[in-house]
Amino acid sequence: MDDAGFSQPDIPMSAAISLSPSSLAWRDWLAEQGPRLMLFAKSQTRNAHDAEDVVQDALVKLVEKINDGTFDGGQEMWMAYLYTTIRRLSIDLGRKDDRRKKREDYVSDEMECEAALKFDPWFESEASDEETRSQLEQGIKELPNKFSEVILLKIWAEKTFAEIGEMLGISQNTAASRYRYGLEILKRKLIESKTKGDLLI
Amino acid sequence: MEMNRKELENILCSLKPAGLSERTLARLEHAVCGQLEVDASLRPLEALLVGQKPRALDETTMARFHAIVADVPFALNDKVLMFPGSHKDAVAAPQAKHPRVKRMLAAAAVAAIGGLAAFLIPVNQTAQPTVSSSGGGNLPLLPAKTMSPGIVTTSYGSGIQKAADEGVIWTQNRQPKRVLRFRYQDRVLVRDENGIERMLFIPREELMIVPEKIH
Repeated sequence: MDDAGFSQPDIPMSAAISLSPSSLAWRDWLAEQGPRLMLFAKSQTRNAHDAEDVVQDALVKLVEKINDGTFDGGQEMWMAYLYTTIRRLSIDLGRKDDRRKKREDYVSDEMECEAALKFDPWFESEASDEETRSQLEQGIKELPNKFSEVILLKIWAEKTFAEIGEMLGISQNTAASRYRYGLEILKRKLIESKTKGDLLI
Repeated sequence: MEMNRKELENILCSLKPAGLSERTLARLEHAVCGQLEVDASLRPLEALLVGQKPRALDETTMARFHAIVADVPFALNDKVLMFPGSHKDAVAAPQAKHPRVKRMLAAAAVAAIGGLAAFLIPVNQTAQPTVSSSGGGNLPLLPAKTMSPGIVTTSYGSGIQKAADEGVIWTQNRQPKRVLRFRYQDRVLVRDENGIERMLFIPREELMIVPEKIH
């Protein structure tokens, strides 16, 4: 686990020995940042498979930019670029899906999507806090995207409101307002939930 | 028609814009005050959310993502890059035979010669080779050079204490350059007017920037 409390997958010793320092550095970086990227992508696409595709495409775009020397800035700018790209790709994907859904019978897709939402946890599960986690996660999933994306970027991407505003094309005051509204809605949802007594809010 | 229009106008005039909702009012107040952080009432929920950890990538996803970036140099910061390549085993072939080490040694030799040459400033005095008893036998015998009245330098020496590869930087025109750092200990043997010899140790550091080939 890193300083921020993110769990990292164990790297087999044999793999660690055979990887170059650069490759190991990338692996460490992915272990730390990958969960945050996936979380944001899941909130944008509402589907674990799409989220993976979107994160992959965003990484490919980053790599292309690094390789052809057109990426502006150093490593500290990678995450901002990836979040922005994930969001843009998710919007594009959503538009494509909308067109597809007009042509096709999408009942099965919807069911699949709902099932994925239900069974694809966004957060690590710890037995003692399972109920709290489950309620928080459900609450975030049900939030309108414009609120949930700000909450995700603020809390798990650790961005400032100014940075969030820049990423989303809104002012920092709007970002702060959305964050506040989002938390208020989330709080209401949790209070209304049956097991509100279990939550420390 | 005229009456109707007038009547309508009066009705419209009598309408009052709806008041601001509590939420909008609070939002505007926050914006005017420049307050971005949430109120104390939302802090416990915020703390609860911070405590949740995003789910780690499973091995398949990790492998999928890693395959995309594995061949890309990893930027430690905006100047230093780690380049992909096979991992160098500590017990592999002697390091001195490695091309990079050879290059470093060659650069170090050039630096050492350059550093030594800086001391070889022609002086008008007649050369007075002196063999130092305290300065070690490996110091070169050089023409004496007057430093200040009564004090004469009798020999010089310079040795590399440490050589380090600082990594690769990118110049403004996007050329990769490798940075090598050398730490020297220069030794100067001086003799004062009483004939007493003293050895001065002068630490010195040099950075060498050499072109780097990237495949």
